[in-house]
Amino acid sequence: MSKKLKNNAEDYLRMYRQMVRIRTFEDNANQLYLDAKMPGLTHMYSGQEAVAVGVCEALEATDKITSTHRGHGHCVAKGANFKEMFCELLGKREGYCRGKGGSMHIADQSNGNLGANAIVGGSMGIATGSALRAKLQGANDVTVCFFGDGATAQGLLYEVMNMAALWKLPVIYVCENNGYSEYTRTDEIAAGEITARAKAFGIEAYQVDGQDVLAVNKLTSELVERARKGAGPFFVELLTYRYHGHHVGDINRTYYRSKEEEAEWKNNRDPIDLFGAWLIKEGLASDNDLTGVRDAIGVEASEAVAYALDAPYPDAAEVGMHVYAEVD
Amino acid sequence: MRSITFSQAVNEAIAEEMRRDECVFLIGEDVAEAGTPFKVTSGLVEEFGTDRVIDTPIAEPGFMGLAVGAAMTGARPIVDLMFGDFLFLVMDQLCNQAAKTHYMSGGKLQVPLVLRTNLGATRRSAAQHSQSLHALVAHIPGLKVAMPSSAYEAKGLMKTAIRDDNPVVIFEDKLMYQDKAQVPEEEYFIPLGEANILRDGTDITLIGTSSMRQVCESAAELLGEEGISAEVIDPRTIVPLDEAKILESVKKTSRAIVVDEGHQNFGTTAEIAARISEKVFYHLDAPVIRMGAMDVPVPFSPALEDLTVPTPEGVAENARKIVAGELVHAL
Amino acid sequence: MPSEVKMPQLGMNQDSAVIVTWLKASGDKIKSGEPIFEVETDKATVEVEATADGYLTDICAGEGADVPVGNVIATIVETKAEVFDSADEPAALPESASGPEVDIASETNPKQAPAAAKPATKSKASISPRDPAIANQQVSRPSTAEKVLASPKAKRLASERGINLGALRAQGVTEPIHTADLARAGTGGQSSLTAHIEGYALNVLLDRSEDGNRTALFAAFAAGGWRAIYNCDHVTVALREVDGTSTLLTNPDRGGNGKPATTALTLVDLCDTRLSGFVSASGGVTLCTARNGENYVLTLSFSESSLPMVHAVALLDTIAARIRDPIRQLL
Repeated sequence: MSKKLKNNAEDYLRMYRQMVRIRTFEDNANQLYLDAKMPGLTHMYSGQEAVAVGVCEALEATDKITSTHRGHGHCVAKGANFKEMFCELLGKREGYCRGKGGSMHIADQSNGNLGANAIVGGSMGIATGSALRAKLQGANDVTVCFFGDGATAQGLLYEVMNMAALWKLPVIYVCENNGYSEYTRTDEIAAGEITARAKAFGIEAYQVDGQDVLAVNKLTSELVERARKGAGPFFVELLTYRYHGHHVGDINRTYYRSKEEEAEWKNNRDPIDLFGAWLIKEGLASDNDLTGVRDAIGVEASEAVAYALDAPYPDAAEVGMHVYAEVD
Repeated sequence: MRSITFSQAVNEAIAEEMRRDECVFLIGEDVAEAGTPFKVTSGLVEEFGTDRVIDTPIAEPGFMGLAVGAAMTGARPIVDLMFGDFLFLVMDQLCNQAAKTHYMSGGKLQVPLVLRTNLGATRRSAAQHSQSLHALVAHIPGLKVAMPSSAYEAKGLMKTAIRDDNPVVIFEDKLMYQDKAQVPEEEYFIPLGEANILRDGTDITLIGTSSMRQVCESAAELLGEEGISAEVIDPRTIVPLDEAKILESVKKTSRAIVVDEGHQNFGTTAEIAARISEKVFYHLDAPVIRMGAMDVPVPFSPALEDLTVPTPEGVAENARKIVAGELVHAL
Repeated sequence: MPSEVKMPQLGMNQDSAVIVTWLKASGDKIKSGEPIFEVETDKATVEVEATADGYLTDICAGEGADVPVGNVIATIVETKAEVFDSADEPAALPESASGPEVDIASETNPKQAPAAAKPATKSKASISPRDPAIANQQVSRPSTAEKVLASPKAKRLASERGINLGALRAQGVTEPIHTADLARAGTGGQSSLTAHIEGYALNVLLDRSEDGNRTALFAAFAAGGWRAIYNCDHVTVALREVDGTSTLLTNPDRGGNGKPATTALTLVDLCDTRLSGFVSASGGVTLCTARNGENYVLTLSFSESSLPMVHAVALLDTIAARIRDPIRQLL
């Protein structure tokens, strides 16, 4: 039942579309924030699209993911809709969490997204526990744990990798190394190699170019298949880059990285541009086709934003709901 | 009716629920062959195997996190936290993750797990193995907190907790594991949020949680000999709290002492006393008295440790004073 | 050299005593050895003698005040010129505006400067209902001007039963007052005043109105009379039925609107019985109304320590006037 490695035009175009959807979602979210229409704060995924899409395209809807504070990309890649996402970002009743979670807590159980997490590294236990449950119940779903380079400083990672390795749990630890731990360069906060951490527990660990969606998808597909057969856990470090600051308000960031560096990644290593060029080169799509994809998604996003802006807030009575689950 | 020990009661409850529901599993340090330091889970691994009675490394945040994830995806884990003092290690997974997931997801996700741990001083275990930290988790919305006061409560509350769809933290008094009580052979449940009136009285209400239930019962005995009629209430769970029963009793007696083994400052006694003062103030004929554990780290020396915990004599002394209209605290 | 008059130590275990009467007024010439005031101890009433020659001044504890032993309650000065004249002190309330309760209040705070409250006992004689001091000034209600320490339940019950807690304290009940202490209310002795009033006008009014409720009218007159004496915003009258039940009426003279206050007085209407009067021992102020043929008999019972005679006379007189001439009052 598992998906095969993406190898036909339809699959490739869907991957392109999904990456564009993430970028478009974030551009709109950023604009909502700048227009002061969005409460709170948010963390942009732009620049890292090939990671979420490359990984999630290797998963089934029944497979689980846990996400991070920078989680919109994972959410879209795992199959979420714009309308419910924008509604959640704006705290509206029709949001994925009825407006109670917001940007940092979107969960979409129907697509196996166990939720974003505002505690850095906070979901590593949850992902590993989901894998433990799959193993105990004989289910063959795999859980992917997304986290950033900054989260490798959290002790929880080492506790759960130890147990996952001991018990051969079907979990894949996906470390998105975007080069910065909040406002600090990764090499200032992480000693040694990232992959060496997993290797210490006897976990197979890989490093891959996170801007190359095909490479990410190829590796992940192989690991997912092996994890289903009990060969897990696995660890993957993806080298990528976040275009925005740590959060949307992190505008002046020259003190920790140069504008030249940002321009280099955006101009020469953009995952969407690279994959679009490959599609054209391979004759799988024309420039017009891709423009059409981007335009259509732009319209879809605009409509969803307008819908969310007009959507009602939750009734005040909801504030006390869902503190406790009703007992059966 | 047969008598069994507190630890047998817990063991029976877990075994019965594991037989009934394959989603239930037990996880923690030395829960399998070792059966925990208090031997509460002995025998379970023989019946259910190492897949469902899982020994973990000494990694409390790790296995707590695993339990949260397993619960979110359909399992019903029972987490064994060897000492209540280790709650501080699992706070993020318990309070930021387990407690909030249902709410943050707008009701979509549930975390049906039980965290078994313990409380209670006077075991000469010093400051890091003697704390009673239930107030800490009772403060967090989304968690339920049960405090069984005998083998009977231990079994009935555990079975209810395992079937509850929320994270429930159960604090067992570690000095009570060998105490016996009458426990029915047939299946029974104790609802969360239902206090137990152990003794009727008219002059004063003594509210005692967990180990302090027996302290209140002994104090009521002492007072009874002097003609003071004390009502004794065991809340059994502090979240949810059976406020109605407590308030009704205090309306009747006009006086109350709340006794609990957690630290007094900002504690369980304070919460219950405040609710009484807020809601039945005009029925009070004396200040509500809090009697918690002394606000010091638990000392090792028996000569010191015994001073930190409320005693029947201490409770009776305060009760005597307020029934006589004397002051416990100066004007 | 001024000499302080202090509350003397009168018994082994006594830490306070109640002033029954001042035998001398401010400005009076005093000889050493001459009795200047009477105090009540738990055993007897004792006259206290002056310890110096001179003139009495600065009396800062009134009749009924429970004064801690050793507190200064007055001063004896050498010359008449040194006598404190209340007319020189614009900030001080005239005696009529404060009554004994302000005296008591000043005693609850021993640190308060003796000059802070200046009851000039000599002015007492000048008070009458026509006195502008009563008619025009904000007068403190007897039972709220002071802070009596009592349990919430005791306060509530005292309010419901029309018991004046200040009077209880004046009787020697130790603070804080508890529910059990309320049984002592009235044992300090009640005074009563009686008025016989022509009922013609009231009867005509009641006959002509469709829903003429005599008791309600009495309650309105009683509240109006109280308001005239004490000039307060809200007056609550407790209506005590002969069957023992009690109803609280707030501002019955103003259509029953407004914020409930502590019960000012209790009304007992015996007009529908053959009885002619009732003197309450409750310790509060009770107005009893009864019939005598076409006419009415009013009995006001009160404790003089809480409602000074001069206020009581004014109160009953103004109520009587309203009953005799109800139309004028209602207009």
